[in-house]
Amino acid sequence: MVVIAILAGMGVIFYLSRDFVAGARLFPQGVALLGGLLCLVELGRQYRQRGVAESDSLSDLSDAESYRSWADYRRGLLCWAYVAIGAAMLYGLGPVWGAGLFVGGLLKSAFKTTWWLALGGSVGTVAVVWLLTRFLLWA
Amino acid sequence: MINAFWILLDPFRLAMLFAGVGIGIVVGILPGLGGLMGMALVLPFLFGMDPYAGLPLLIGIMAAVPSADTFPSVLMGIPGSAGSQATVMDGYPMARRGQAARALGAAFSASLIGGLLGALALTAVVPFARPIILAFGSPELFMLTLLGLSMVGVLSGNRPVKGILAACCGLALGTFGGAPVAAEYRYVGEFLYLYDGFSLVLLALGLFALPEVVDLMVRGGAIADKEMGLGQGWWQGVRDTLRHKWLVVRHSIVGVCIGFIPGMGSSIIDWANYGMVVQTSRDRSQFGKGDVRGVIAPESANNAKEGGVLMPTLLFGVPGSSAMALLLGALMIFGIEPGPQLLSRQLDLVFVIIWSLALANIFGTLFCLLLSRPIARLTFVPFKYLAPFIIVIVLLAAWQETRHGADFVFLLIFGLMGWIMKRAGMPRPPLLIGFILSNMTERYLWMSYNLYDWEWLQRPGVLSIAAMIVIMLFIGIRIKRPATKVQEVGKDT
Repeated sequence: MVVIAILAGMGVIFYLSRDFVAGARLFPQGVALLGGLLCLVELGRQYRQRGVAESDSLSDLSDAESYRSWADYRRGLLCWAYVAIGAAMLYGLGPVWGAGLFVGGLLKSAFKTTWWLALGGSVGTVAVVWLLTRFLLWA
Repeated sequence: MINAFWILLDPFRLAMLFAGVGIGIVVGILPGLGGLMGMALVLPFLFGMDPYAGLPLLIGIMAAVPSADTFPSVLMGIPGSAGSQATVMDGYPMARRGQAARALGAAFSASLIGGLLGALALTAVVPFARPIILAFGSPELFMLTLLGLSMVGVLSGNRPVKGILAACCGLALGTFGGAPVAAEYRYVGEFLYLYDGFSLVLLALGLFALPEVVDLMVRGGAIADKEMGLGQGWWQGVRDTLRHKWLVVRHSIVGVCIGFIPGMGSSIIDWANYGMVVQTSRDRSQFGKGDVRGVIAPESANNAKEGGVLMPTLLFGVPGSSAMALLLGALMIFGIEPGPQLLSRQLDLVFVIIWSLALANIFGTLFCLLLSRPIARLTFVPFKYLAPFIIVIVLLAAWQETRHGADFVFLLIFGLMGWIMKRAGMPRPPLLIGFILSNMTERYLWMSYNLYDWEWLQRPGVLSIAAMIVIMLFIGIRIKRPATKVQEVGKDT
């Protein structure tokens, strides 16, 4: 699925580049062509080796086997939802109050910590983010 | 060179170096985070910062991680990062025998000497490299970008096609926004936010930081599961390193040499050196059971390689690793183009980086020794208590660059992209390298063609770099094979 999505993306880039002047067209079209070709090669390889598990790579970051079932994937998507909620809170309420409420809310509602810990985390985050935004980031 | 030292001694710059070392120690200790995430986190804070302060911050993180990642390797048998996998082989058995302090003492002192030798090697290379790279024109620079891209195959481990495909995705993402050689804005329509293309910071945070945080949240529990005492024998470990001084020197040199080859990851250097020390030792009976040489060799090489990987990055603009790709990004944030221009116009900055590397190694080792007991307890904090704070840091880091709502949207898109790539077994570092090199590749290719037509392909410099690409790919494959074998044996035992 991932490779097919990339193939579609390369196709879109190739198509959208057609009206550009030569200086802006050739490089993205070349990359899209190469990418499309590699997608086909990879799809062919996956078809030939279907059912065979792939071994880990040496070069990517350590990849703990956290996902053993669909329930794990659902938890993963829930975690992404938390991140999205955090982003919405920071954007809607501002970085100081948004961050504070997000930390306290996540600690209490998702991780079931005590009220005192959630409140402490919330207040501490408000203080740190306020100091950070006031004196370092957007001084 | 002395002037650069005085520049670095400015209190704010020195404080940034300390801060970098501190962050490096924390992310090195927490398995799964790693130096790349630490560097990605501080990248947005570099905007508007003095480069003489910002670069020591990054170098501090980069230099401290290989020392600090020894803690979980020795104490818990969990590699703190990819570069400390082999240390587990003998460090953890030593800890189980009550010699954790000896193993850590040996590892930190070997790391210190290795790091200093790496900085020394980088210093020695600068005067020789300068006249050579000053002769570089746009065709040679284009070939150097190709050299960086060609290393994607090596960076992709045993998935070269997926790696090159990921690099193509990075190159394609890099074409969004204004074209470098024509008055054209590509694929952005009327969306002003994307006129300068995608943000490197958002891409790096999304690809590397968020997927790790989500995965650790899914896994639950603490980062580490069981506690191990430190025991006694710090000085004995230091004495072990001094007793095996030639082993340290030899593996430091090997670390620098392998580090110089772009695309050689920390894990390859680590396992290659472990394999080498086992192969070249007369008495091999204790390896895997707690032989201190099995700690000293990979640790000295691991820190020395930082000097090696900085060579192609600073002198040629070719990122030797994912962390170097971020460093390259940081240089661009400061408006500094690495390569020949850097040596001719800002030599003092190069020496500031070298001094930072040397000092960060010294401070990192001292901090590790001083803070070893309390820091070791951090890994037993349940991740649910850390996750909300890390998410806030990532979100703030992403938002502070432009403070546009789209920052969050693209952070989430890139994060999900990184997460899906991880699940699909597609290596993420090549995408980042492709993205960073996209603009340079297109610009130098177009300039070379316009200035020399296709005759630039016959230039001696171009042919030399083409030969170098072939040789490095060959060496990379040759080194990787035995390293992979040793790693597999390690997993079995």
